[in-house]
Amino acid sequence: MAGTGSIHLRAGDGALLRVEDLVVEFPIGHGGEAVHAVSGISLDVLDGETLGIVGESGCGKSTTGRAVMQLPAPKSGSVRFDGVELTSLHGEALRRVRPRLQMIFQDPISSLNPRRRVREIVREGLDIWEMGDKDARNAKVDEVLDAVGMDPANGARRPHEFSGGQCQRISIARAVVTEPKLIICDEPVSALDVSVQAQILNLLEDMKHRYGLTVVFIAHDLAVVKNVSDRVLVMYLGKACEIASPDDLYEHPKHPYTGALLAAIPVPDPTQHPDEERVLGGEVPSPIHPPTGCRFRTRCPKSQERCALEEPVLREVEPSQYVACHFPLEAGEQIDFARVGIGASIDVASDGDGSTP
Amino acid sequence: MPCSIPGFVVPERRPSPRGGAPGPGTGGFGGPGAPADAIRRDEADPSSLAFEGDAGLLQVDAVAAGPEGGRRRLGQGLNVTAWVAIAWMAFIVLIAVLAKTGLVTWGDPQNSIASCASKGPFAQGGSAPGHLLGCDSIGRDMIARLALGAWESLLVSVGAITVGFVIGGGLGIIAGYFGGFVDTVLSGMFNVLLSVPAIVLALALVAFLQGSPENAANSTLPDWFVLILAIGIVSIPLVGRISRASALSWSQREFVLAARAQGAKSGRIMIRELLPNVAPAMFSIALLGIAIAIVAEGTLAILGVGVRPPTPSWGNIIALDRGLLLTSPHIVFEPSILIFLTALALNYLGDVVRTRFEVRESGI
Amino acid sequence: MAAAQPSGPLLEVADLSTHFETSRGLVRAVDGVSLTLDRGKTLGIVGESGSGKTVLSRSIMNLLPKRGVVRSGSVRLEGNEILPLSAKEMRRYWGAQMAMIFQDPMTSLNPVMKIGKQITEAVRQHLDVTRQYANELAESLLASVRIPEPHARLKEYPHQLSGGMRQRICIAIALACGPKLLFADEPTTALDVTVQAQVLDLIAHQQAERFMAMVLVTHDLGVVAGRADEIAVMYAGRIVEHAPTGVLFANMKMPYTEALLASIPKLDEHSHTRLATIPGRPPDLVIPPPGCKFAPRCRYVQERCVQEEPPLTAGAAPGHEFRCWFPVGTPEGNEALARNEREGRVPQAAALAGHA
Repeated sequence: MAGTGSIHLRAGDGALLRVEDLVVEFPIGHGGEAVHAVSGISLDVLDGETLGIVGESGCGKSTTGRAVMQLPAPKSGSVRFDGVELTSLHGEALRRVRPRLQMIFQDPISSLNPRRRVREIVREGLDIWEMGDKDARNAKVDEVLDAVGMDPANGARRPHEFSGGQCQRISIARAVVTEPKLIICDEPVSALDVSVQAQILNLLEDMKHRYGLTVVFIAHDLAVVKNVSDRVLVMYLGKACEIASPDDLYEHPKHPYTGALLAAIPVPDPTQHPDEERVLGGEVPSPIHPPTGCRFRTRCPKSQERCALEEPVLREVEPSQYVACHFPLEAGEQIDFARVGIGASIDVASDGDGSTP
Repeated sequence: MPCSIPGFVVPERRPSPRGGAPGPGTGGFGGPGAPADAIRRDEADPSSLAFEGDAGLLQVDAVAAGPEGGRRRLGQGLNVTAWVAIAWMAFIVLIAVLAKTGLVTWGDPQNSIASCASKGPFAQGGSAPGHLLGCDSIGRDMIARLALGAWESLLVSVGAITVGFVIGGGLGIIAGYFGGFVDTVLSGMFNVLLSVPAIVLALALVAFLQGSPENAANSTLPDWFVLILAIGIVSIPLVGRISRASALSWSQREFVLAARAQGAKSGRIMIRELLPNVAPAMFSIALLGIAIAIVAEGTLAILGVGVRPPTPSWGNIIALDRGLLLTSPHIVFEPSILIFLTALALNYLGDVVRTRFEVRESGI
Repeated sequence: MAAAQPSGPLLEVADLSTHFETSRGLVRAVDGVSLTLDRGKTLGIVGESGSGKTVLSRSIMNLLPKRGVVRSGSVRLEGNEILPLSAKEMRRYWGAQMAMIFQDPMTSLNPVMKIGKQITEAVRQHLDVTRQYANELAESLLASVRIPEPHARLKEYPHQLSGGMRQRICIAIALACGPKLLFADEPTTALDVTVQAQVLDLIAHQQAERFMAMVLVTHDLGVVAGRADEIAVMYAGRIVEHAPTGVLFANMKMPYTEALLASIPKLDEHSHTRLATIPGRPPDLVIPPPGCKFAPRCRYVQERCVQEEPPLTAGAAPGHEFRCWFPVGTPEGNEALARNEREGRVPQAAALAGHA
């Protein structure tokens, strides 16, 4: 699972956000070891587009989102937002960009200050940037609260008086109040009930139209990502696996891991019995010592010796469908995850302890 | 078509941007608040209800109280004990202020009447007449001295705790929020201060501020000021470490990240996001701290560096006549009882404050 | 093996109600629920947050605190009434007869106790075995929940494992004393989809091997679709539809069930398909609306629904029950929906939410 390529980036100046070869590492201890959270991701998002990023916990999708926000700044790579190289900005210059680049978090409890009132929370962005006078700010807060389906009359309440779905609405209101161009949604519906999830997904779509937003939508559920996205990036252990339109991904996944993600989604139909063979086994290897070559090889039924030795690079296998795999899936190919390919257990040099921790 | 049946409303149709299936995307608000949360709460924290006891029940209760929960008036729902504690503190503060300002006097705290010396309230051969709580070793009225002593004790303790909490609390929040190098430096400083025994540190500070014992009498700094600084500085590392730990855990929360993402400066985040969360717990600790500081002033008085006679404080009343513990126990016991009751009241109020300000957010 | 078991269902719940006394009044979290569960079978309980599904499973387990909780009805396990038993008496049942897996594997494990110790504690509480034997049992349990290198794991702490591994540990602890009935309360909500599939497969596997009955509580109909024998849909503390899984999906009658199913994003829909939502939120359980509790959010709502509560009535298929005056797919239901569409009526909650 290499994906250290940038062939999928689209030419021209249409991209609002263009990330190239992003690397994020977190040093651990003093031994020079590091968690390789993101290892060379490239992506671009056109103005008005929604990019979905999907993968399991620990694949680096949230880290990618935060690195775009420069919270914290990546170790290396380029993040161009609206023509400005964010990685070259510091201090006040970076702060000035912030209101145009917002974020929505997964945990509606953790992302709202329990001590502050809803109105203050939503108005904070306007207060920081002193946008308009007091009346104008309050009017804006009313408008935004109304837009997300909250009664502005409840603005004096505190977050704990609302349900998870409502708190997520407040988070969305806070994010759009400064009228940003780009919103990064980090698993915004993972903590919610299915019925509330549908409300929030529809609301995000409404907000996108109303405020002309460009969205990066991060989630672990491919069905959710498919619903909102124009383009989907599948990530595994800090690398890109596959990039395509959601319909293409679903119709003909090329990467075995994409196939596994699709197979894992529970289908609300009792006639389709969950098939154990199609469930991906094992766990994500340690990002401290990731496997050599393709990072997915330790769990991949198709892995060969080549997968351990040579890192696959993103290539276009179908029009606008890019995959980083030496042995992409054929059309209609079913994979049996109950067995694992011969490339899984090959130890290469000293870096061979990347198996399950 | 208007419709009068309850349960129906005919709204204006709104165009849906995406068309398709019905159901406004903005559904979800408008239901009467609480009960959904009530159950949700235990779903979010499954362990809480799994045990016998109050914890689970309290949670259900807490949420069911719902929207009104956050709007209680300050005095609402306090129990009798809390009111007794409040009344006691009000009484002590009132006495102290009256004695200091001289609006009401209980006699002259400096006027010594030799015949009454060391006589207690129940002294044999008749108590000192007019002296309800007796007199001290040189015949000064205990009530007058205790009332004025209350002023000195409260002034020193409240002042010291204010100093400790403003400086220590502030440094703690800074250390907890910034982390890294700033944290290393500040935590190191706290640890250095903590490694010196508190009483030795306080003695050293008093000596430093007042100069040598010979010059002490000529010191321009009033005793209370010196003691506030000394006890306050001693409390800085203790308070600092608590507030650092609290600020550190709140800093991990995503609302802090959200504030940074909005472009808030560090100072704003510390004041608007961290302080309101750190402060309530700190305030309850501060109440306990006042009780400790009253005792600390007494300890320093016994070591001879407290509020100096003839000005009384609860501590130096005990210190001066501690030799008479066996013959005239009332001189030591009376201020001791006041310190004890005051400490008890503050302790209890600290608990009340803590539980009242605890944010119930476990299972939004 | 089944023939050796005593006759009668494993679990019988009759008219169970659990009400919480709060400062606002009585919260009717569970209101008159009846159900039975046979040995080795799986019952799925589905509902939104606030529907009472978690309180129901804890009421059956008798895990709720005594104070401030008003209970009535009956819970029989193999014919023995357990509802009035004290916590002390329940200890014979907990773990040994009935066990529970919780949503959050991190908070249900003790962070400062080694994994091996947590499992052997559970074992030694119920079975009179030596420490040595308990350790061996713990290791084989870890192997049976497919944890790699089980021996090494025994000496590790919960924080050293991933979420999926922790949930496997919780399953191992729940299985330790061979319970006859397992409650799984949103066991996979905190997990990734891939891990969810692994964990659900694992539970199903163990269940079949041990001939254990299971109550699977979830908010996602997709999770129970392929795994439960029958499904009870809960709303506002009541069962609103109850049917064998095949019948429910083929022929659902309750508008709420239909709405829950519709709100799941489907993989075969094109991207940017607008999702069907249920407007509003579950009702206030202190002052529930008169009539059908779902009426304020229902697309089929008619005058009768807001005035008169529908009883649990039997459907055409055996074992199918539902509470609705205008069931989905029936002539009355279709007529109701058509009338609402014709006259432009929307549910009260949708109108409130659509105030903009």
